[in-house]
Amino acid sequence: MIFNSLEFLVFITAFLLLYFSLKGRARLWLCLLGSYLFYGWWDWRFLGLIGLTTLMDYSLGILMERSTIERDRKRLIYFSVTINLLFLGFFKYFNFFADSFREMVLAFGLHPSDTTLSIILPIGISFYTFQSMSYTVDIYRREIEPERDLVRFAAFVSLFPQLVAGPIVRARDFLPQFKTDKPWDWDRFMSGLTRVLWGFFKKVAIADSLAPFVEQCFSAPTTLSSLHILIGIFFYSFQIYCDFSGYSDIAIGLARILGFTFIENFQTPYFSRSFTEFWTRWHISLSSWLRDYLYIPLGGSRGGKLRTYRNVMLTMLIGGLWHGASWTFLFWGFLHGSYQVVQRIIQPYARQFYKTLQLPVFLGRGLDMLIVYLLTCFAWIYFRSPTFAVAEQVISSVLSFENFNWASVTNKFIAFRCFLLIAILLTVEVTNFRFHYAQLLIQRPVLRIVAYACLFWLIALMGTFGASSFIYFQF
Amino acid sequence: MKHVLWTLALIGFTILGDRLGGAVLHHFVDTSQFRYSRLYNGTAGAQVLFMGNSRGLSFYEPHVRKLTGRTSFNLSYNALPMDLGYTLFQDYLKRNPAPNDLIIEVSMCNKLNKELIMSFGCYAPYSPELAHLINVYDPKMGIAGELISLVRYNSEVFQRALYYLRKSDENWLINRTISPTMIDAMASRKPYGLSIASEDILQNLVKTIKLAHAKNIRVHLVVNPYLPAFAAKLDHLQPWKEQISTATGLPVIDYSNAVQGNEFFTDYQHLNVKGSYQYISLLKRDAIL
Repeated sequence: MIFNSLEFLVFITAFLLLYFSLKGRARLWLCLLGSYLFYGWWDWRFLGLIGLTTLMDYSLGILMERSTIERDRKRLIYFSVTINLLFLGFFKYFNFFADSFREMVLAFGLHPSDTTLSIILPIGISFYTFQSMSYTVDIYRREIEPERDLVRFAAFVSLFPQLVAGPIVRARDFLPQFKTDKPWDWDRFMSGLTRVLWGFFKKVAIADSLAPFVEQCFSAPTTLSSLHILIGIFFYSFQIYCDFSGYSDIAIGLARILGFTFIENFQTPYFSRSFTEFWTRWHISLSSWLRDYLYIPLGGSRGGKLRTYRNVMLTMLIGGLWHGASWTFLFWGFLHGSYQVVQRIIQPYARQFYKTLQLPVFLGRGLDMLIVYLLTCFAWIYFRSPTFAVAEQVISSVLSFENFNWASVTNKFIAFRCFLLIAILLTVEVTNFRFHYAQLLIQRPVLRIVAYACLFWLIALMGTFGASSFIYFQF
Repeated sequence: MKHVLWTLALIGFTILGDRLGGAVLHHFVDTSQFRYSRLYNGTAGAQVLFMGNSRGLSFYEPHVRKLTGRTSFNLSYNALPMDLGYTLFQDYLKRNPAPNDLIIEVSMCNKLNKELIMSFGCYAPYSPELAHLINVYDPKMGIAGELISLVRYNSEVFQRALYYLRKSDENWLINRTISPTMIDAMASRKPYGLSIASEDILQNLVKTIKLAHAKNIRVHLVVNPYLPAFAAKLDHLQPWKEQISTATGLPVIDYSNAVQGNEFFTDYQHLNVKGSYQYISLLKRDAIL
């Protein structure tokens, strides 16, 4: 069941009515069963895996707490991490490694048998596996107590707003929220609804409108002009942002209506002035997860420059691979790791250079933003391309500057509409720095009515109503 | 009680804005110079009527006028499928005088296109047939269009109507030349298969021809030119033409390889303005125009 579908509208209406008419344990059961219904709507077989992950980490958490011997605790945490990663690895990466192995063997002139299995990738497996795994790690580190109520723990792993595409919530923040019943609150409902509507606008109007143009650029790059493809790359940077942050907005808004608080997942990432900053504003729940459970345990920035660079590269490579079983994702992670390493090396010289040029502060900041944005777009080419060959075609088409004129752009009407939508998005995001719309709309009901109506009209006039899936579901 | 009142105010304001916005946008569609606005306003009368998908845009009206002295009206639109073509033709005849000739570029029988049919929602208030077609393809969107006025104007077709608000669309043909990279890439392309999208689509062509004959309109079925290197890679061309001829009882006049020279093409399948001139000259030579 996806958020932008009629089925979900029926589901959420019924769910909210039941949710606020129930209390205590009944409400907890509703959260669990509703979430399983939501998830099983795709394929009921997915429920087995999430159920197994839940049971395993629930039991291991309790066993770890009972165990007083450090060696046993260590064994248990290794077991939890290994099994979780095995599930993830099997469903997500088996075919990738099997194909890569076969290609490598073929290169040596041997002819191996076909080892590819037709494995269905359970939607959102990367998200709930990381969420569940961090729970056992936190218990091992003695940062949290294990949850003894299985229903509560299962509801924590599977709660539907964030189940399939995050934000990846942490047990220490999220589990305690299940312990108190939140009564219906009109202001909270309105605040959540604003977020949901804004998320829908980003997804249904912006991301889905950009999608066909982008698809054309990456499916037939040799048949299009260089300017057309350049616009396609620019559009993709906003498509993926609006698709994913739109999902996060809907998830955060729905959770707020239910009385839960999720971590923010995006904070205007394309206004970042460095790559380190970018990763504190893009997919925040994943980057902070990787920081806490990978980068810091690897040593973080404590062991000198070279070790720091190694840790950054490793973290970003794994972050790339987390997105999917493809060499292009790995290369995307490699690019982002390299950007951060190079940035750390050249930053002092760059500051000196700006001082020498006597650039006004705003110009220097703008230049930083532009560089970060352009290099991010370059990395997106690899992220979006199914193969390196396609990425190379895209890059060489742009660099050829062949037919680099507006007349060569096909689908100008779609392009114009997309530019308009991006302009609306940027206007809202930039002015939000000053006006803080979320608070303003709570304080001024008239303004709230106008804002809701405007969003409704914009979605009606510019939305794409094919109930297309979210990009991050595949991860 | 306060919250209920605010909610009612929100619903009322939203509906009011939707209806008001819908009325304003309908006015734009009504007064536009875009071809379908002219069709539904009854100001599209012409001696020759063209129909096709984006390849049908090669029937460039200024060239037709210059070379033949005849007036023409083009119903073609990018990826226009035959079922929509039939509906538009019906509506044309209801609101405009019948033309002498109808020329159909038959590659429009190769695809179904639900999205485009939905895009014509802004013209649904004019035509029960069009509204019915939308409902057949997507009943939910049909109902949504009835309930929320603005949804009807959520399309590229409406954007074009807005673009041609104060100017004619008779120059609607891309005027550039195919790039050397695209020509080079042709060598590695797989053969391009031609096939009828569905039996229903073919029956819509048959119905169009029957309706035209009932109104004493001469009908010509043509295949417009392809880039020569692309034409060489057309697969199943002959059986495809035969299937159409058998169903309609009319010959399919094949110009797929009639225009030689890459400079006459925008891409593999579309003539540019220069190429259109060549092609229309050929149609005149063959007494089709």
